[in-house]
Amino acid sequence: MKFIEIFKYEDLITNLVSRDFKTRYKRSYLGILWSLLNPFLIIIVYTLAFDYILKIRVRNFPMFFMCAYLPWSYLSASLSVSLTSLSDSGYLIKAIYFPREILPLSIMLSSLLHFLITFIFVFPILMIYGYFPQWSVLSLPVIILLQSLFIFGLCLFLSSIHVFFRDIRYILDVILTIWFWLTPVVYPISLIPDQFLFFYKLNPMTIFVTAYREVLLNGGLPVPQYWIAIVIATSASLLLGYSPFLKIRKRLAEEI
Amino acid sequence: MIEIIHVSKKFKIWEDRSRDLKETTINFLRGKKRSFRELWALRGIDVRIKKGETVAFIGENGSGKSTLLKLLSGIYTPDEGEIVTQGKISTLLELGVGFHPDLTGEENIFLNGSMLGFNQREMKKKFEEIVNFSEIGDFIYSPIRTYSSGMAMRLAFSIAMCVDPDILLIDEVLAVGDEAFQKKCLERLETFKRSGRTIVLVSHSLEIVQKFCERAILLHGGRVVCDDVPKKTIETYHLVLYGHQEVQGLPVNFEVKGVGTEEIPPHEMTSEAGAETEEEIEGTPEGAQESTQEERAVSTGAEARGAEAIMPEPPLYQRYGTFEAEITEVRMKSEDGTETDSFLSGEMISIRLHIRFHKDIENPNVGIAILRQENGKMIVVHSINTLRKNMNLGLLKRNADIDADFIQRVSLPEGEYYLTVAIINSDGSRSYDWHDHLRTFRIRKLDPCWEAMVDLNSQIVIHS
Repeated sequence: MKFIEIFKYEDLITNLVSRDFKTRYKRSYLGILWSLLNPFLIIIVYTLAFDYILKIRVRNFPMFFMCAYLPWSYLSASLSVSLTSLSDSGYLIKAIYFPREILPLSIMLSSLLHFLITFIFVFPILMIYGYFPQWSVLSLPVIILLQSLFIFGLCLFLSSIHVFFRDIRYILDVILTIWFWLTPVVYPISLIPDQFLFFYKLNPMTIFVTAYREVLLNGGLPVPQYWIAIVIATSASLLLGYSPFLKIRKRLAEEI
Repeated sequence: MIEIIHVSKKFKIWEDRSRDLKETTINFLRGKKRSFRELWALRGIDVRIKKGETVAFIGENGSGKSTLLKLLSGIYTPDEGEIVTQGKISTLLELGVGFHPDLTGEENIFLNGSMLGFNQREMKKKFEEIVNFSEIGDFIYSPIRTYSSGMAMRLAFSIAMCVDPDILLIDEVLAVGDEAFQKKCLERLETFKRSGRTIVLVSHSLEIVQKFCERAILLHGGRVVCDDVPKKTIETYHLVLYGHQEVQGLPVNFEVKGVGTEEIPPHEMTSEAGAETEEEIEGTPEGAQESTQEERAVSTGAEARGAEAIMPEPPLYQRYGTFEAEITEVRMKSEDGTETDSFLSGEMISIRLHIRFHKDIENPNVGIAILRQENGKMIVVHSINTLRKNMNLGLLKRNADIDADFIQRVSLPEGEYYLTVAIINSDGSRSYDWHDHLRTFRIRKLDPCWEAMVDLNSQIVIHS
């Protein structure tokens, strides 16, 4: 099977991720620190805006926001960077054979790495605020893995579509903004009127974000329905990603 | 081992390439499909390359050789047929592709190695060797953007040379660096070859092909025309390349009688076959041929050439093929059995091809085509071959001679016609001997009992 082929290219994936990782902040003074500084600054800005000015009624807003914003930015960074991963690598695709899904995959993995690094600081900060990790934190890797697969499906979808429709780039910006506000990142889900709640929860990111908060802030496990929803969303995303990708994979070298 | 089994590859050439959503949506709503042309870059390629062979693909630009290499490496997927490979393949199509300017030479070695399908462990073993081979020295720890272009090329080439694939595919990249480095590369390839690895290369440098390869395959128009030792393939290649000019360079001597090989200097042909053909030329009673009509045709052609082609130019005689079987003689006879180039419309004529086999060939396809010029374009008036007739010629042994008689009624309008004859293999993937526009002949109308293009053998019945 072609799906298994990528495991033979494990070293290529590692090298591409490390290339991306090394070159992302190359020639910048703070380098990898930007990965931490950036979310930190955003958290301050949103706290000022929503906690102090708009006075949204959420307990411990900075932590509440952080637990949702980090998984969100993992998604949005992966999507916007991987979008061009196939179309910008024409030179590679035309000259060397390797499973093409490695290109969006390595971008996603590199974003994952940045995401994981932020956790080094997430836990100490949470503890300062009095949130101590419970045994439920052990489910975190599973949630991250499922979210990664979910993101990978979307990356695959977008990068495949981008080969043919360059407009996707501009559409994506709009979609990400809308999506961000439809996801309970800066406000609690309790603000959503009951009659919209069902539709609101159809957004997979709502489920993911709620799951992260449950584990990190409440020290509990997401309810089983959430797990089922997450698994369905992940499978759907992979299906969505692979269907255009498998169609164009064979002709990729000619079409780019 | 590489097995290319009846592989074809086509490309879509988009006439109106729209990549933005607006245009696509509008076209979709209007029910307009994007129009494209199909271009077959390769047709029915059958080649087997054994382990340890060094094979070159040669041919003009656009003959499909680079496409074939990309198919072998997996970059392209065939539209028809199948490619089976055994062993690790390393591709050297473009040098330094995948290098990242901000990474050091060392990091790029590992990155590039993994792109070629080699893991970290294997690359660690090769690292020393690559650095030494590239002669880059301490620069290896500096970012590639600080390299000169020559250094980057040398590094890229060293990586490809030093990793140890079972099959190495090379496309036109041997001309790297200075002469000394080039020599070093060729030496390296030589040891690579001696260690029993398979090398497939595409090159315009016939010198390298001849020196370095043990087999060369000529592609022409997406088909295998010749598959032989480099010397013979290159000779055929010259025929395909320059056959053209040589014909043009001839004095007003378009008439190609008997064997039709005058354009081909004997030394250009396979030695054995060449000698034989020459004999045939001597033996053909050219004088016996009635050629007044043809001379007239030739002179008009010549005038046209002088007068900037007001008249359509006569088609050029071209011969190509592997010459594993040769059409050594073609005789055209009229109904009464006399050999001539001028026939009456509606006459039963016979065209005899004398074929000599230099190799055992199983059921070849022998055919003829009659063409004429229409508004400056060549159109095929009639084409027939043994395959279409569902004939099986069986196994024809080396040194066998056969005559193939094509008998037909030439119910054609008055005018000038050209005869193309060919012998190819049964699936059409290999041309043994192909003579385009070998003969010019004339159809005269004696009894004008019909007019225009074709005699439909009409009966007219009047009922009152």
